[in-house]
Amino acid sequence: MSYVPINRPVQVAANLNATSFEDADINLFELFVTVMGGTKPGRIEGRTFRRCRLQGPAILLLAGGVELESCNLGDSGGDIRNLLLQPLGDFSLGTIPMRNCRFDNCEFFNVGFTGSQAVLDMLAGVSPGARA
Amino acid sequence: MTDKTLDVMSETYGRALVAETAYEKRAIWLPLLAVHTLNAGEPVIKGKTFTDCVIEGPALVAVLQGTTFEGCDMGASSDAKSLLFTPHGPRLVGAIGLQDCKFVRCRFRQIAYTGSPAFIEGMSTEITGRGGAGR
Repeated sequence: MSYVPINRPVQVAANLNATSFEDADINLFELFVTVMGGTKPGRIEGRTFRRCRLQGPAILLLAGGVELESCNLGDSGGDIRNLLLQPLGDFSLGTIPMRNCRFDNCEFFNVGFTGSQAVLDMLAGVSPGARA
Repeated sequence: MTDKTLDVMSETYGRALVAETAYEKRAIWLPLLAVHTLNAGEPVIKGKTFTDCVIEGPALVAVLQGTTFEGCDMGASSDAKSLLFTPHGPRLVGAIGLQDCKFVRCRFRQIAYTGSPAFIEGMSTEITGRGGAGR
């Protein structure tokens, strides 16, 4: 199933502590700050996003178990590699780590992606359904 | 009674924040400044001076022409390279561009850095927890 463009009016997510988001607009750095103050600080985990618009500026660290189904990863300028960043060290500081999250028909704006070499290779050959 | 809750995502707040050119002894949430800068029609944060500020992420900074760091703490890591990223393509989507900005005695928290190959090479050998003269 291919990505269906999201054309609805802006609808800011009301509760960033939710585990499931549908038809919501989310600033990823706001989501991160909310999670950092939660019971399991440091990582966005076990969340589901459906038909959401996710805005940066942000670099998502896909730390395992992240599924991207029929998503628009953003304006790559014709080359998906423009959305990818290679960490030089063992700890990817400055990023927003995610684990075991699912994105279904979501749109990313001003968001880059990083992770292990396997994750980067998977994204570089991105298909509509991708799993990190 | 007036509601005095500060809405940092409001256009009013954003325009005032972006209009400033010098920030001193402030905590700067860099993604927020970047979003408001973009909303003001500017693609990068340009021509600003930060003195004795805490610059907070999470954020990846693209250090562009004219940006300097004097006496700054670039961030804590046992492995300095964990603060650095190289782009896979010619564009830097998701990074916050800093051009002609000056950082003096600032502390950077949850901030990573990227830029030209020459910049990354220089930073990887120079980061020891405190940044010297800029590039």
